[in-house]
Amino acid sequence: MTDFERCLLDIENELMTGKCAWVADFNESFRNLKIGDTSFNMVVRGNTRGKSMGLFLSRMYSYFTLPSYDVACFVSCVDSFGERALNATLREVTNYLKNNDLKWAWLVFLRKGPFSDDIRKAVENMKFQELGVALIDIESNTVTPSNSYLGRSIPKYLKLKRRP
Amino acid sequence: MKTLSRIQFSKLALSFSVVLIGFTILYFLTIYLATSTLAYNRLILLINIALSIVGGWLLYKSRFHVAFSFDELGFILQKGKKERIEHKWQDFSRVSLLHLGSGVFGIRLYNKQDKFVDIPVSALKLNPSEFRFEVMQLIKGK
Repeated sequence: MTDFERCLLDIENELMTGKCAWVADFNESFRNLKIGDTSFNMVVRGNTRGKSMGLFLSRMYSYFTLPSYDVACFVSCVDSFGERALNATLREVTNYLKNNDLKWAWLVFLRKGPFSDDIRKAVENMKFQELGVALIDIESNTVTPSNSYLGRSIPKYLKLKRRP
Repeated sequence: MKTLSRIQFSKLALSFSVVLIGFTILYFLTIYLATSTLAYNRLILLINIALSIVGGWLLYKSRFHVAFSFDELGFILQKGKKERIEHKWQDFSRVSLLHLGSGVFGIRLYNKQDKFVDIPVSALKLNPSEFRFEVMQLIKGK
């Protein structure tokens, strides 16, 4: 199993059964999904209301208090990565959000090694409200999130396991 | 063809409980109508439990038991006695891993018309993630 595959499994577990359950019920995971011209290593779909497995009262509570927004998390493993590729991916994800009535999404790029300063600055300056972007260096576990509420929430919820 | 079939103890317990409750209610109704009392003793309880074990097993086998057979060409999914689904892997184009809540997983197979079939991997006691990759390879035809 490669380092990328291990990280994808970590992220998938975190989204579907881990801490991310506090954000949304991510319940369906696709691997190697092609959207438009861009291929994503993993796309996990979910809903902010989810399905409460509790008893009658907790089901009623979640039904009346939680909004029902469809959401997604896109994960892409990259080697060399430029601003043009970043913008193309952002365009595809934004179109996907519109076409599929998704309220918001996380977009995560994984790389073995540090991202270039240009890319990091571009991501740090992003202020999309409906899209949180993060760059994760899987060697050092460094996360560079975009400057929005959704972006800043990524390092809080998506944590990769430290490996020796 | 490789066949997978595991007993789901939670469903078996559910079947047993449903039948036991059913027999108990039936007993009380009958005895009340016959004698106008609600007499109950240990022997009756033991007979009810014995009948519920047999009835629960039959209910489980007819409603909940899952058997899954597959090879490189296709699969057969049998749920209980009535529901039998048979497909070729080539009928499908996409695979997803599905979390159904409380750690229960399934594999969803989509065809080109976006219709889908779910394989209950947790009921078969398979590793959901590994089986998903195996199914992806089978769909690719490799």
